[in-house]
Amino acid sequence: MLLSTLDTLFLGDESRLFINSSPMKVTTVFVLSEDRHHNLAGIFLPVGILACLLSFPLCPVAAEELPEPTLSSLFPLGGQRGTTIQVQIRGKHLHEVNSLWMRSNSLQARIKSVDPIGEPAGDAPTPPEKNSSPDFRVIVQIDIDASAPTGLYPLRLVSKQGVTNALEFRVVDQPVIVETDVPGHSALELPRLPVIIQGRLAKPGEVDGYVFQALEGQDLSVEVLREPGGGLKGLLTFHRRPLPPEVRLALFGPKGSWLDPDRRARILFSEERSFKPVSLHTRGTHRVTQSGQLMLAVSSVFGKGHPDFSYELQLFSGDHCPVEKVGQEDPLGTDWLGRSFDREVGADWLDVLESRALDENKVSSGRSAQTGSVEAGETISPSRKRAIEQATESEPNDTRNEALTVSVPSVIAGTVNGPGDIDTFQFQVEPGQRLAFEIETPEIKLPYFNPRVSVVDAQDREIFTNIHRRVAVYNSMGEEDQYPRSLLPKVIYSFDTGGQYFLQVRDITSRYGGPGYAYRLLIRPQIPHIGQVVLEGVEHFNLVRGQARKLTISTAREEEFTGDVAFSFQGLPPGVEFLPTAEVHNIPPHELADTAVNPELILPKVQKTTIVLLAKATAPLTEMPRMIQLRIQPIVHGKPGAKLLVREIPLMVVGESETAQE
Amino acid sequence: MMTKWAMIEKRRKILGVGFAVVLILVLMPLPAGSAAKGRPGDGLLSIHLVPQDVTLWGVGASQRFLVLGKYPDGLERDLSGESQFLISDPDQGKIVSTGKFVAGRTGPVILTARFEGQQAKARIEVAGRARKQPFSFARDIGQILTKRGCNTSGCHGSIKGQEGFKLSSNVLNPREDYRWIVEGGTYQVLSVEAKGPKIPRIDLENPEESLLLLKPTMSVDHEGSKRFEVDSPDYRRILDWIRKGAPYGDEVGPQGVSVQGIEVFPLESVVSLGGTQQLLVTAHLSNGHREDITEQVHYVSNDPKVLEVNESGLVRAAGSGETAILIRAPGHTVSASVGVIKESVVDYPKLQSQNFIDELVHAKLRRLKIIPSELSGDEEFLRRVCLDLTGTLPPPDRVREFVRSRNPGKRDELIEILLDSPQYVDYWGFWFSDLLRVTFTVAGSAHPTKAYEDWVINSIAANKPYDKIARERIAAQGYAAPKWFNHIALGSLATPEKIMAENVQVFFGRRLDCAECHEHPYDQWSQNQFWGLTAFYAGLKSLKDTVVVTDILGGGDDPMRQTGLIHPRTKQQVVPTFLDGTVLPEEKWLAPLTGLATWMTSHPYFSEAAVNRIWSNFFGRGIVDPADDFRITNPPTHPGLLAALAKDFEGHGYDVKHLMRTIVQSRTYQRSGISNATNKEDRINYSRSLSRPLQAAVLLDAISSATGVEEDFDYHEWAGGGSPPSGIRAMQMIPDICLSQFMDVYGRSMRKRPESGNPAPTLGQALHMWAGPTYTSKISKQGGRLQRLLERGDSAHQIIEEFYLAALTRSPTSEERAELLEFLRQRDSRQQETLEALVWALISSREFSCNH
Repeated sequence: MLLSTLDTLFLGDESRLFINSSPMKVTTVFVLSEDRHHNLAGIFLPVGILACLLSFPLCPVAAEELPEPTLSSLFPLGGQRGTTIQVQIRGKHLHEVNSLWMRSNSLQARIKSVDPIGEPAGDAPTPPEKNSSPDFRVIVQIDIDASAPTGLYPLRLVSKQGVTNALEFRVVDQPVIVETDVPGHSALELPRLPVIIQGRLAKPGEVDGYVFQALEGQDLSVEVLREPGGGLKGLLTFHRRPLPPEVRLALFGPKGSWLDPDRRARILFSEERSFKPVSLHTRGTHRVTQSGQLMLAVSSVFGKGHPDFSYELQLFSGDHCPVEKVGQEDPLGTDWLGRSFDREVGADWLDVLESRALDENKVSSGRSAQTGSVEAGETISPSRKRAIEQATESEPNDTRNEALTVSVPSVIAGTVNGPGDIDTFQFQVEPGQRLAFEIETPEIKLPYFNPRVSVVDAQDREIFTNIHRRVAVYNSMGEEDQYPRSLLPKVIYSFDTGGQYFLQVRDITSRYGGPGYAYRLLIRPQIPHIGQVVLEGVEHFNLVRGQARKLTISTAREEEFTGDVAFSFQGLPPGVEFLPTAEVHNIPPHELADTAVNPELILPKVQKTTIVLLAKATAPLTEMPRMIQLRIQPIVHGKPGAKLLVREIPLMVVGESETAQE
Repeated sequence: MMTKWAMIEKRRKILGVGFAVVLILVLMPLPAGSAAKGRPGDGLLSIHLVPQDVTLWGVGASQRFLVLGKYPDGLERDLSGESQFLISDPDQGKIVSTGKFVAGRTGPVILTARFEGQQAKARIEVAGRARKQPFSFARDIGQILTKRGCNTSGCHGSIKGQEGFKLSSNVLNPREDYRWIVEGGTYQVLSVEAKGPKIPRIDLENPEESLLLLKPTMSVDHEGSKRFEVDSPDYRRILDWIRKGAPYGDEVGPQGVSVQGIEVFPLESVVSLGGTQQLLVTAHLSNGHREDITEQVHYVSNDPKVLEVNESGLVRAAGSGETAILIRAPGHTVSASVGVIKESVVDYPKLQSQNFIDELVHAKLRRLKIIPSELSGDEEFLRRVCLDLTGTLPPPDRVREFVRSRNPGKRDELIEILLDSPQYVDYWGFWFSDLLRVTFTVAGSAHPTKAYEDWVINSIAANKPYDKIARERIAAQGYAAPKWFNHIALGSLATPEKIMAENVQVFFGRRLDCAECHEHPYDQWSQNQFWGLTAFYAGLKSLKDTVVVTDILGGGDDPMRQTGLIHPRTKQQVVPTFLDGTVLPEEKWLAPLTGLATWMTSHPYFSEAAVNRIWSNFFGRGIVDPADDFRITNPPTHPGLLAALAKDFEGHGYDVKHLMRTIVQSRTYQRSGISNATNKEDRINYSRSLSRPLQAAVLLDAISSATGVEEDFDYHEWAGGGSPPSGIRAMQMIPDICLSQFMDVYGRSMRKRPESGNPAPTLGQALHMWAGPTYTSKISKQGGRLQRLLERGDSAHQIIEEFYLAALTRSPTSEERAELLEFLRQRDSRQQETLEALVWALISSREFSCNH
C-alpha cells in the first residue's frame, strides 16, 4: 500500500528516489547524484522516515540488539585432506547451534558437542559483549574428502539465532601436526618435513616447542600462515576489535650452552616481522650448519596468551613451499582494488574502469570488473580492447635528457634497479588535459617498495607527486600531527598548460632498489567511475522476523564521477524486502596541506547511503543461510551501466529468540 | 601456609644470623700483595736537547730548548733550569732566558747545553727574512684573549659571557668577538641581535681609556683579576691596535698564514714529586713552517693538586697522581699528560705481553714506575670473564671443571665458548639495547619495540660489523627495523636535533647537545656545527600508513629545495654540513643520511668511541672516561692505546667479538685484583683489576642463578596483558615494561638516555638487601638450590662448597670453611635456618655484587 504510494509520488522524475520490486526479488535503490541531493534531501528524508514508521510502527528501523551467535576461534585451523579431524570452535551465544555451514561437498561436518565454558575474556580478540552470556565450546568432527581442493573454506555455525560469522578452515596436502599440551618444558616432536603445524598459545607466557631432525646443509624455512585471529577475517574487518598478538618464531640449535645445558643457542636471525595493518610474512629461513635435533619455538610478542589464540605455520625444507600464503581466495568476496598498489594496471584496466562508469557499450567481457563479476546476461557487451601503448623502461634514464618518450595513454613497465635509481619519461599534454597516473608494484610490495611518482615541467619544477599530505589529524598520542603523509597508487592532475612534461619514478627512500623493485605505470585520461563500495559493519545478516535492519553503504566516487548509483539485492528470501531511507551524505576528503590542489583529484569523494533490510512478520524462517548479492549499477545521463557484484552475504530469517525475550 | 608474622620472624632470624656470617666473611684477611721496592739511581746517563734541529724564520724569531737527562731508572728529567747554554757564534743570536734562543742573523748556529760534565748539541738554521703577516684580529688579538684566559668557559667565554661582555670560547667565532669589543651590546642566545645599550670595549678617542685595557690591568674593578700589566707586551699590542682604529684586518687563511695545528712536547711525561717539567708548544703553520708559541698560549691544569703550571708552561709536580695540562691557542687545544711519582723503581721487572694492549699499558706503567699485579687465578679469571662476556655466573660444575683442567690454553678456549654462547647474545643484546635505547614505544605498540629490539639482538647474535650497525641506525630509512628508533625517541618522529645529538653521542662518544643553543663551553663545537649536522636529519619524514621513513631533503614536498631547517640564532636556512665544514652537495640531498652515515663511520672518532665504550665495560672505566664524553678538556689516559685499539678494530672489519677477544686475552685484563705497594693507588692505568658493581639486571640474574630460583617478572600493562615466559632473564627484559622494584632500586637504565644504569650504592639498596624479597624469599623457596641440596642429603660442608662456587666462583678458604662449620655446629638445632643465613650473607656480600 505504502510502496505504491511512494511509486506514485515520484514517478516521472528522473532524479527521484524510488523503489522497484520485481518478481525476481530484485530490489533497487537509486541514490541521487550529489548536485541534486542537496535540494531534495529535505523532502526525501522525512518522507522516507515517515514511510518506514507508517509501514512498520512496531519495528524500529535499527534492529533491536539480539544475541548474535559469534565465533571467536577455531582450533586447529585446518587439516590434511583424506583425514578426519576434530575441531574446537569457540564463541558466544552458540548454545542453540544445530549445524555447520561450509558450502562445500568436500567437507562433511558433524557437531559432537556444545558446552559452555567460563573463562575470563583476558586479552582475547573477542569484543566485549553487552550481555554476560557465557562462552561456548563446540566440538565438530570434519571429514575431509581425499579429493577436496586445497585452500581455505569459510566455516559458519547455524543456530536458531541465525548464522555466525565465518572462520577459515584450511585444507592442505601435507601432514598436519596439532599441538598438544606436553608436560613440563618438553617439546613436541615433528616426525618429518614438510609439516603444517596447528598450534595455540592458550596461556600468557606460553612457548610452544617443536623438535625435529635436520641435516647439515639443509635449507629450512618456517612461515606463519595465520596468526592468532587470522581465521577471524570477517570479525577483524567488521568489528574493529583489539588486534590479537603477533607470533614470534625462534629456531634453536642442537646443543645446550656451556653455562646452561638446557639453554640452546638461537640460530635463526632473519625472521621478518609482521606488522598490522600492513600484513607481512612472519617467515624465516636458515641453512643448517650442523646436523642434529633443532627446536622451533613459537610464542607471541610480549607473551600474550588465550585459548582463542590459534596459529598455523609451515615448516619445510628447500624452495618448495607447501602452502602459498599469497593468492588465497577471499571467501568473503573481493574488494575493489582501484586504490591499491596490487591491482594490475595492464592494457585492459581502462575497460575495467569504464565498466564502473559508463553505458553498456563500453563494458568489456574480457575481464571482470573486480568487484565480483558482471551480472551474466544483463549488461555485458562484446569485448572492446583499447589500443594502448606498452613502453618498457631502459637504463640509463635518470635524467631528463635520457627520458623515454611515451604517449597518452600508455603503460610503462619499469624497475628501480638500485638505490637512488630514477626512471624518467617524457610525455606531451594538451592545455586543460586531465590525466591519471596509476602505479602498480607487481613484485616487491609496500612497505618494502614505496614508488614515488612525480611530474616535473620543462623548467625542472616539480608539479606534483603521489605523496599526499593531510593536515589537522591527530596521532595515537593525541598530539597534533600536522602533515601525515601517504603514498598514493593513483594521482590525477589537471594540466593548465600544455606542452612537454617529465615523469619520474623512484623509491621514496633512495636506499632500496633491485630486480624485484618492478612497477607498472599507467598514464591515461581521467575516467570518472564508481570506486570502492563498502557495506559497513556487515559480514552476515540475521534478520529477526518482523524487524528491519539499517545498513550503511559507502560509495567512492572516483575521478569526479557525477552519475547516479543504484543498489540492488538479489536472492532475497521470501518476505524479506529492501527499503530506502534518505540518509545520504557526502564525506569530504581530508583537508590537504596544499590548498591549491583540488582534493577530489587526490582522494575520491565518498557518499554514504543508508538503506533498510526488512523481514516481514510473515516471512518464513530460514533453516540454513541463503546467499544474497549486493550489486551496484552506475547510471550516467540516465543510461544504466553494468550491474556489478559488491558482495555476497549469508542471510537468515530468524524468530525472536528466548534469550532476547528475556 | 606460613603466616605473615611467621614470615617476618623467619626473615628477622635469617638476617640476624646472616649478619654474623657477613662479619666472618668481611673479617677474613685478603692475601697481601708484594710492593716493589727501590730508589732512583743517582747517576746521570746522558743528556739531549729538544728540539735537535730547527729552522727559525727571520731575525728576531725565537725557540725554546729543553735539556733532558736520562737516568738509570728509565726516567727523563727536565734539566733545562740547571743547564748551561752556549751558542757557536754570538753574532747569530742570543740566549735570553732559560733555553730560549733569539735569532740575530741568518745562517746556521749550534746550540750547546752542558750539565754535570755532559753536553748535548742542537742545530739551528736562521733562514731568510720572515714575511710580515698582515694584521688579523682573530690571530693577533685573539691570541692575547686566549693566552690571558679571557675567553675561557669560566670567564667571558661562558655561554652568556661575564658582566655583559661575551667572547667566543677559544676565538671560535672571531667576527662576533670583534663585534662585541668594537660595538658593544649584550649577547643573546636566540638572536644575533645585541641586547641592551651598546657600550664599546674600546675607546678610539682615548685608547688608554678602553675597557679592554682598563679591566685586565685592574685599573678599574675586574672580577676576573689582573690579566696583564700596564705596558706589558700584550698591553702595548692591544693599545697599538686601538690607536690604529681597531681594524678587523685580514681573515686568517686566504692571505695570511694560519695555524693548522699545535703540538706539545712532551705529550706524556713523568715527574718526581716536587720536580718540574717545561712544556714546549709548537704551531704548524699553513706555509709549512713551525713556530715556537710556548709563551703565547694558555695553560690550565686539570688537577692543580697534582700539577701546577705557570703562564710560561713550566709544570711543577705538587702531588702524586696523573693529570693533564690543557694548552689553548686560538682555535686549537691540546693536552699533555704528566704523571707524578713519589719514588722510582730501579729494577723494574720485565713484563710479559700477550698482545699490543699489554705492550702499550706496560709502557706507561714502566714510565710511571707502577708494577702491575700478578695474573689472576683461574677462579678469579673465570668469574670475571663470564660476567664480562655473558653477564652470567658459571655453574658450580663448570667452575670445578675449569679449575681442574691442566690445559694451558683453557682460558682462550673458554673465551671462544663464551663468545659463542647464547648468554653472550643475552648480555650484549642487553648492553647494546641500553646504548641504542630499546624502549617500549610511548605509542603503546608492541610491534615497533620488538622489531627494534630484534634488530639489536640479531645484530649481536650475527656479530654484525659495528660500522654496519651504525650505518643502519644513522641512515635508518624505509621499513627497516632501526628506523623505529626515530619513532621510539618521542613516540612519533623525533626532532632532527635530538636524533642527531644522540647519534653523535652514541657513535662519536661526543656530546654536542650544549651547542644546540650556544657554543659548547667545554669543547670546540660551535652552534653552526651543531645545526649543520642536524640539517642531515631535516628531511626525515614518515608515511602515515606504512610508517615508512624517508630522509630526502628538498624537492617533492618542498619544491623550493629548502631543507626547512632554520638556525635558531641566525634565523638562516641551514644546509647539511659535516663537522669539518664540508657541505653536502645538493646532488646528494636525495639520501643525506646515507652520506652522513658513511662519513661518520669512516671518521676516526667512530672507531675510537666504539673501542673506548667496549673497553669501559671490561675495566670499569674508559680510556676516555666517561666513555661518551670525548672532549678536548677530557683527554684519554692512554692515547696510544686508544689509537691502537681503534686501528685494530678498523683493520678487523669492526668485528666486536674480535675486539672483545683481544681485550680479554690480554694480560692487562687478566691481572689480579690484589694490589702491590706500587699500584695500590692506581685506578686509571690498568695495573690491577678493579672491582665494579654489577648492573642491576646482571645482579638480579646472578641472585636467581646462585639461589637456583627463577625470577617471576610481570609486564607493564602497556604490553597488553601478556606474561613473560618462564625462565626469562632480567637482561632479556625491556626496562620500561618490566616491573621490577629490585632493578629500580639498583639503578637500572630506563633507556631515557643512551647510558647504562648507575649501580652506585644507595641506602635503598642496603634496605633492600636486608629486607627485600629478592634477597630473602629466594633463599628458602621450594625447588631452589638450597632445598635441592638439603633434599639430596648433602652435608653442610658440601652445601657451603656448592654455594661458594655458585655465588663467588671459588671454594671457601680453609679459614672461611672452618669458621662457618663451627658456626653451623653451634647452631646445630637450627641447621637450615643457619644455612639460609649463610646463603643470604653470600649474596649480600660485596664480593658477590661486584665483578672484580
